[in-house]
Amino acid sequence: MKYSSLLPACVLAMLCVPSVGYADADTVRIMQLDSVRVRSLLPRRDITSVTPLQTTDRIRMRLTNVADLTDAFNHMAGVFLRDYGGTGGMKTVSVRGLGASHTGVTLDGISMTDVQTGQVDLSRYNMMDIESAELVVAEKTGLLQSARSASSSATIEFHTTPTDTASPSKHSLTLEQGSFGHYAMRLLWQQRLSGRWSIQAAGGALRARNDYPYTLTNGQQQTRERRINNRVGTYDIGLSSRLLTGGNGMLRAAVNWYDSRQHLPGQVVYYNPSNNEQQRDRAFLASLSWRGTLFPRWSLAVRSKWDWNECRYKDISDIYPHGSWTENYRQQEGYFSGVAGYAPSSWLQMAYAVDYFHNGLISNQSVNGSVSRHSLLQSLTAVARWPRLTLNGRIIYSRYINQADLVADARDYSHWNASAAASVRLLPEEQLYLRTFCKGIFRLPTFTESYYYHLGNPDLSPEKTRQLGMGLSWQKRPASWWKLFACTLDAYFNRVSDKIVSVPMNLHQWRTVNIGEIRALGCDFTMESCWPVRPSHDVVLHASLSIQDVTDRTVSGSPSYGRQLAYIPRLSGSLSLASENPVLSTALSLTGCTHRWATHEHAPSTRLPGYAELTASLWRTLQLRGNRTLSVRLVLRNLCNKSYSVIKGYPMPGRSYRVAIGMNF
Amino acid sequence: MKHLFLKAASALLIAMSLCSCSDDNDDPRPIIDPVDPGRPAGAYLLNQGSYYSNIAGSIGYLDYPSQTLTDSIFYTLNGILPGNTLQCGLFYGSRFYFIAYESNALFVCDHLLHLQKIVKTDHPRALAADGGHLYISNYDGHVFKLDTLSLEVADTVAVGPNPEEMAIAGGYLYVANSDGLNYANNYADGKSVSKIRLSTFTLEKNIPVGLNPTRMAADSDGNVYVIASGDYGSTPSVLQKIDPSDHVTDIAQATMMTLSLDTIYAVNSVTDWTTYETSNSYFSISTRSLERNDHLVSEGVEWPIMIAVDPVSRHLFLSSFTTGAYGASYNTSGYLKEYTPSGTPLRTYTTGVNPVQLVFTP
Repeated sequence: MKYSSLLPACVLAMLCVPSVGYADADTVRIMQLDSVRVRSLLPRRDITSVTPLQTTDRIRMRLTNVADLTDAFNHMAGVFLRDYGGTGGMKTVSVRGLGASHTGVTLDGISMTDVQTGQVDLSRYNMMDIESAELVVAEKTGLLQSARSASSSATIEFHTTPTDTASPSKHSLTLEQGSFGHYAMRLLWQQRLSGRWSIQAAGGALRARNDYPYTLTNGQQQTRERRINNRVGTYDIGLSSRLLTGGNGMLRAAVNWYDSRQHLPGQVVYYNPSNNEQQRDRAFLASLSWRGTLFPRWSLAVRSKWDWNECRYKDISDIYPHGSWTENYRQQEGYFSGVAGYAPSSWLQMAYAVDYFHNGLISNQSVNGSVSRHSLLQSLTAVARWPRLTLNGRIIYSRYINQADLVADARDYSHWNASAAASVRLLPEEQLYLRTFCKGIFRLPTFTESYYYHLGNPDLSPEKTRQLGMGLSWQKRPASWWKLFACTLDAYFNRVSDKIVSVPMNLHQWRTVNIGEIRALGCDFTMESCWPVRPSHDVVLHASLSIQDVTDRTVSGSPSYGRQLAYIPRLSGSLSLASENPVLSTALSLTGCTHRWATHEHAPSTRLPGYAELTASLWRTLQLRGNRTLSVRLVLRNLCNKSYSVIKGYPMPGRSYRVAIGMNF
Repeated sequence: MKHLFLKAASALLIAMSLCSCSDDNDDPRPIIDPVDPGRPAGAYLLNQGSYYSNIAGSIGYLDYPSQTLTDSIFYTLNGILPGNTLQCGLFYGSRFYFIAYESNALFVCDHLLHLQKIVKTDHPRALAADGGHLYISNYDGHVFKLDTLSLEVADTVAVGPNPEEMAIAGGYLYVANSDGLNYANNYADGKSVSKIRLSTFTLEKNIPVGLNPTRMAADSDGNVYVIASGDYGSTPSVLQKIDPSDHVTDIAQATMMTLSLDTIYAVNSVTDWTTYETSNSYFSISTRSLERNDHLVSEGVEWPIMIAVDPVSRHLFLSSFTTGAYGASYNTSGYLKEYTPSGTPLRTYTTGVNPVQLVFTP
């Protein structure tokens, strides 16, 4: 098994120790000692990270039975994946009870955004295209982090397939077929044009009928129904180029186009299965970035992007004027980021980052018009590293200016925020770390919250979060037959204040205001263990467990006060056991959670029972002639055909399969 | 089947009065079916549920003798839920009918609420009944005429966009055309009430009224009352009267009403958009003398949803949301407050989610 996270560094030393002569001076006794093999375990980043970090890559995704990229988040601790079901169903991630709007998303280091809703739908990212994903709580300690990536309470970082500089060309084709009319393909073509310059083209398409059956419980009656009007079709294409420049620099340019058409099934309504909502999303992204060393001790990273995306929503029904309800939104963002890092000494590094971005939103809603926002973020970071101690501190200054043409401008805002983190290696001979962090940050009101017809409120203040966390991380090679044991245990205390909530003014009118207070207490546990059975045959165990107490603290005595927030389970977890070998690798995994409530008030009919989903997979990779490989993978999802919903009214698929054939050539 | 026909025929013989969503509390009461004596005196309470929280509706029964309100009796009797977003119910003949907007369904029950049939409709908003027919206003701009014998749609008439409540007076069906989903264009096509001749079920004319008409009722003199709900902002909600010659006059500002024994009982909820505070006033107006009583109740409710008056006891009922952390709590049980005829609070009952209509048993 090529187990990337376990790369023992082997050092061979021949030690010739001169003898201490006590005999004749001309008599020299030479003693040759046995060779000594010093094995040291390269500590993993999630173990040494000052702030909680969870990572996954293609290997780990296979080992944990991930079939869709977002499944990977079900194997992470402290995460609530808001999943509306099926291939095209919207999926967002809330971390440690803070809400999905506080989770930033980056793609190859470039921040992705949706200023209209404040949440990035992760269902558009494809497992065949993403090489690895990381979940960062608070912020990364990397020196060349942009100010923007540090301005979220948590960040998901996606990384696409990097250009392979080792071989002159590389091609891969992946074909996928699954239940409910699921077909997908992806083609990757990489070419090294010179020793420094390579280009890559990637494209993919997906079609899914997605009409999976589900069980509808209506009182004492249960019927089998199908999710209808749930088709989805997407395609995307991307070109990127990488140029190695002087000063260990790398220039990367990329363009991407994404187009998605889907029908929306809506929530399950008793006696009425029909729904006629449709949505088309198109997005274009162009990015240019460079990072490298300008002078000794000085490093620089420059990132820029321009993206455009359009969402066209339509609900066809005679109840609407002209037979349909349409909402068209176009967003644009221009983004520039520069980070300069300076290392005045071997133990101290400092960085200054400045980000400017401009977001614009145009809609066909005559009452919304065109709205935009200028954002300027600056951060100053200091990282001090000693052999057993790491300290990290950052201050961020944010300035936002809003503009609207038909309605009142949303309130401008500027603020200072600070964060600090520390990590101590407790024992010199053990990879055992104690880490702690605190961070205060905010999220701006979305354009919907600020401007939407009647509901929006331009006077909103940002929603603020305070995070405090402490944890232990430990990595060890306990024995020759126990290749790896790694675990993390983190506890946290978070508060959300000035939470942005829409409240009713009367029967017909709602208004968005800053009113809510949320308290989150929790504990995250992750564990990974690897036992070599034979050479190239490992058994790997992954586990995660989350305990979350996320409660409303707004108005004492109100129906929701002190109750667990809607949809967040008190206990959730995952367990995966995989056997990876050259003949036929297998994995079995279980994900699940305890009961949840669909309303903050815990209305009696909104209790969602707990569930556990069992998934299994088989895969094998064949070495063909040359460097060609052929891999085949079969994933059997929800083996027990468990009927459950993550979101009330949006049933999840039952038993299903997914077959993927991948060729590298 | 034979039994059904017998019940329907007997209902037809005696069903003479109008019976609609807005005026189901009218006097005279809907006729009691001699075959089915129904429940003891009381009322069915329709709880709309919450669409956005995926909470189905429910029907409660307010039992006068025991002074108790029992929720979910439809579910208890039939083992299934009464659909999503209950809108309106009425007794007519031997049956109790109610509609669920999101479920696109008309539920046909006996007086005891045993389900007989579910009839598919198209986003139903309100009910009215007359002459052996049930009228269903559908939000797609049509009114269905349902034969209560066959339970089939006998005829359809196009009215204005997004019709809401209906009232029957002088052989005509009046339908409020709200154009409620066209708010971005200021309800441009929703300033009228369609007048439909019942004998031919054809549109006679559209009567211009205020902006966004939604609620309707009729008195015994052939006058029809409509609440033009305005734009929930600068244009206030106005109660208007349409006399038999179709002249429209403003009566008062009101956001909800019921009409019983030629008296309009109304609530006016006004939100001050500078302070974001909503104030509620409660009053009654005699339809004959236009005499107004601003001391309808000694204390109101927090978030009024509905007002109803028992045509026999003259007790007044107001339903409300409870107050949650963020204003009205749309996901939890509401409450129903009962008053004496003079407006003194008598009792408060806990209801289902979003109690929208109280239908008094015949």
